[in-house]
Amino acid sequence: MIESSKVEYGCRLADLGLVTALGSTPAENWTRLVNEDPVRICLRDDLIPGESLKFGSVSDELPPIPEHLQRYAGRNNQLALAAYETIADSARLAIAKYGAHRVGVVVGSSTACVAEAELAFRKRQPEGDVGADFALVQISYGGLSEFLQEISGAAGPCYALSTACSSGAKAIAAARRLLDLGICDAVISGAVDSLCKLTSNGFRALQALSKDVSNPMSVSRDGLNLGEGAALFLLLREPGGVQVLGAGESSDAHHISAPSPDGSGAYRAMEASLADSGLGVSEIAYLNLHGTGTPQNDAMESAAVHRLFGSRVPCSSTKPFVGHTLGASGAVEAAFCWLVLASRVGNELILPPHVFDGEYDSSMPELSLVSRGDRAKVSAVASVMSNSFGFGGSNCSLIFSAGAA
Amino acid sequence: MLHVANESIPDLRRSAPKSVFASCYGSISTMLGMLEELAVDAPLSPSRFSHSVHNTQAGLFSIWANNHQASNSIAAGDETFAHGFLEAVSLIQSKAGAEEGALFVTGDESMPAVVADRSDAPEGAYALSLVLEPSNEDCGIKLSIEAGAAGGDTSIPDALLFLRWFLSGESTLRLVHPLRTWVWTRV
Repeated sequence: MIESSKVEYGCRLADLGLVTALGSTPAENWTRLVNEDPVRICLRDDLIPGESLKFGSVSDELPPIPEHLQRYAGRNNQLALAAYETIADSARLAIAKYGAHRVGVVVGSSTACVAEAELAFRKRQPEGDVGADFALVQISYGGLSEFLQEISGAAGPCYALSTACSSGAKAIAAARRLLDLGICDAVISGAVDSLCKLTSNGFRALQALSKDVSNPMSVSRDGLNLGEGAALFLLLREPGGVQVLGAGESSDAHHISAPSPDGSGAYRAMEASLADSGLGVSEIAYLNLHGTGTPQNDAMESAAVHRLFGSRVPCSSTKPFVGHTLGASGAVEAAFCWLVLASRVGNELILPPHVFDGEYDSSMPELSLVSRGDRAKVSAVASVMSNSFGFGGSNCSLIFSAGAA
Repeated sequence: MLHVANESIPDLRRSAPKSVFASCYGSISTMLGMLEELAVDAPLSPSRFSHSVHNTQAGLFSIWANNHQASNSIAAGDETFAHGFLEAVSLIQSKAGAEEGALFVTGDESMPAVVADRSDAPEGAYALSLVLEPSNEDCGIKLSIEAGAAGGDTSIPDALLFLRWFLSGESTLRLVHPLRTWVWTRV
């Protein structure tokens, strides 16, 4: 059998813009991810009254919102713009080649610009009007997709997908469907979320925040760190490069904010993604875990992964590096998978390490967690998987594949 | 939205469709209530926070119907209805498609008092649930997208313009928006 080194399917992640606590370009993110740069999760006392906790904040300066788009002013859209600037040239080329109406925007978010709405409500007099600082678009997810449409000049279908922490992964899956069906020739897709009091105090109320940097899969894990970030891809209907080869989605039908404890929803999403890609479990060289570091997520995810893969597949959670970027996490972790495939060295993939205290929770089935410097041997075509699970029992698992350069 | 979803379910041939929930503002009264609490540093209710996500109705629907299928929740400003319809069509026509059709639920709450007077606040509440099934070329409804224009009908939500057309028997519906015109045609 002759192995082709080019993936012939047609949903290419042609370009990537990425802004996280690790850095403002894909290259910065990758270097700091694989070199285990001192963890950039840092203390903030301005988000939860009376508490100082660790967050994955983006510390680099963000570009300003252009004057004519001030109605979209807000940190979430600034993060989107920062990521978009990296792919702006590719997006312009796609619009020139296919026409604006053939280029879509499908993006995920779970916060929109609620941080600015929080400030407006804080200024409000008791029982008074919220004032001119508040706009409904700040709390409408469609504000993000409209902003990117305005910035890019794309005029194809343009919408936001918001399913809590699976938003980013599902946005990429939805963008791929628009390409598959021939509705678009190119789609700007990914996700953006920004730190705000709403999610910080909400997750605090759920007792889901860690006292220190999150410690996924450890017996001592005590929760997650919230983070912020933006990852935007240009998806093209063409072969080659890094392809979205599989997407699997499922609903837990269990509880609004807790995952199904046996991991059955997560298992269904991974199984569906494999079926969609046509690959077998042995062909997945790396799995980027949802790996939040909450007791519930890690218990159910390890059960689901072990049931499907045994303890064979190398896996890691990259959330200790950037925090849990909520709706953006599926796209941020897709970006890390893209970087794993794009940074291939010969027949090996360099893998992001699983950083924790090393005390694996022995009550959970064994997983093969990536240590610093670990590599995965791959054949001509390499494939990796990323998991995302959200409130409402919303699950999505994506598979990315690329041939040798 | 859950009420109308419930109403349309008995029409389904099978009980486990994929689903799309489309809403411009989602659980806005829950969201604004939490913003008022945060403004005075009051602690949030964990349950209220959990029910503030855009996919709350989708999550509750999946639990209520014991439905394990893919479900997406979207928003797209004034074009939320059309994009939700498109998302539902893409779910039943994709490679990994659904023979069983898709449930498409769309709606918005009435605006809470704190924002109801704002010029950008829509009036009234509505919800519409449709069951979409794949059809062959010679029957059913076709959706296409054309270039946009000014002057679209903004008197009532697009979902209700669609419903009025659907019940009217007229052959074509054009929902005109600045960048896109959405055209439904009876085949």
